[in-house]
Amino acid sequence: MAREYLLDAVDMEPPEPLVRAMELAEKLGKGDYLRMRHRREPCLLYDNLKQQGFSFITCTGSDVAYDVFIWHEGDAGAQSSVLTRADTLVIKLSSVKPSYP
Amino acid sequence: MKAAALSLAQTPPLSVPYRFFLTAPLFAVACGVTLFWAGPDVLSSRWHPALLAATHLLTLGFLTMVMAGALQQLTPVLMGVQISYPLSFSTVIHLLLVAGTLALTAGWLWQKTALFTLAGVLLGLALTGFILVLLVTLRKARSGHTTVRSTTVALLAFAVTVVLGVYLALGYSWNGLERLPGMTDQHMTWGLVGWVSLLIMGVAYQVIPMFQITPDYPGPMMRWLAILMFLLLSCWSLVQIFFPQTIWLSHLAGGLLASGLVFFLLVSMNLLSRRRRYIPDVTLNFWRVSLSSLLLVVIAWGLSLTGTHDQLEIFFGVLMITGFSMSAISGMLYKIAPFLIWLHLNNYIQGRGHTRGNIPNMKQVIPERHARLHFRAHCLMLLLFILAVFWPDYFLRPAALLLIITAGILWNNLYSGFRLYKHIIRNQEA
Repeated sequence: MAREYLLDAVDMEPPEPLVRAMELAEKLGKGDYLRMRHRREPCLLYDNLKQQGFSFITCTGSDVAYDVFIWHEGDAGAQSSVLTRADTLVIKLSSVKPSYP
Repeated sequence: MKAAALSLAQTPPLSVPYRFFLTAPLFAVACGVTLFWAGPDVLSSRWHPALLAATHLLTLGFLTMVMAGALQQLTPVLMGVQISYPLSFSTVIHLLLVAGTLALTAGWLWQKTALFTLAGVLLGLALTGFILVLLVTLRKARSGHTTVRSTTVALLAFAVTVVLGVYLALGYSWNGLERLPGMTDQHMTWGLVGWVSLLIMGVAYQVIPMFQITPDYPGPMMRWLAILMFLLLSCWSLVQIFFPQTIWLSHLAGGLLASGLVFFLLVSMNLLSRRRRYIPDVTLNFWRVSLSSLLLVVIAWGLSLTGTHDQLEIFFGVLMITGFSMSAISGMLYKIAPFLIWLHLNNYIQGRGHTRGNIPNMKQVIPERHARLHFRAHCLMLLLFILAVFWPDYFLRPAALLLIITAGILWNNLYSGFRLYKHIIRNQEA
């Protein structure tokens, strides 16, 4: 069963959102993903995620400026859950080819 | 507001901005020493050589030094474009700026005309080189990015300041260069209202919402205010040159410029009152002092329209340089410097293939209580300088002494952050 972990970084000062996101991402199990809500695009996070073997998509269109979904690279179950979860949102940036289930 | 695409590989070495940050407080110390040595007589006229030397130790040695260092870092980090050969570029600009500022101030203090020629050449090379390289680099940035616009406009204002400044400096040694009426006022206004204020505004658009967790500045303001201010400054300048007798036109242009500054300070105050986290923050305190000083600057300018008051002109300079500009820049340094140290440590750890190392958080890089000590000393220094404008015999030397202490605390705080960075790198490599 895929689990969504939520990180609300809306009120956080840089670089706390990045630090907390990386800490939580490292704890993700198989099929799990992290959803980070942020008021601005966390550009600095992307290279960190790529280097540590995570996939991500950044979406707009919810009640917050940016939703970033993060999961372990190659975790097909987590990827499928994320793409279903983000179905109603607008994908702004993705580290994976968006192939909807 | 959207940040430009950002890559860890784009971050220039920490020494690129940090050499400027660590040099700037030393020039503020030199300013304090100059004022202390010159004594209360220095405030008798705005044309006193020691006052001109002290002013440039702050405007070039402190304000421009920090802003030049910060821009070399903010260009890649906020605007997504990198300066070519960043280390060589920063080394050359830093050396020329240090040598040029020292030559200029020594020229006033020892009344040696050859030093003004040397200063004109060194500062001319440093600052035109800096402006041109930055302008060319910014052309590669995504157009429409609000910080790119305001930085470009601030750099153009800086170019006018530098041309006028170099002309004035060379005029001390070359008799052939005629000093036109009002040229010094033009140089000062383009420098303080153009270069310094427009850049502070442009950077505030980014750092206030980012670090103070406030709503963004209004989009049209970020897009147009700096450009409008630049155009108003140009109009004011042209009126001064071509219609010097038409006082009402000059006051109108000046009034519109002042309105632009007031608009910026009111919006900024409003945003700061709407921040999402109500926790004590020294940068917030510095911003409040900075914006309050700006309000007093505008009031002082309004009062100066009623006639020529030498004291009011000095009061204007004190508030604009130490009140508005130094406060804003000191406050921003307490966010930018720890963030850069954290960023470089994070990049270093990532580069070694580690996940999370023992990277200190921002409050550990420069402890809040150390920054707060600086803030208290800064406020006292500002108060003493304001009193010194009217009672120099009693307050000038204490104010100068406080400036030395304040700058010393800032240097120590910035250096302790850098020392921590070096310590962690050394431990990782051991």
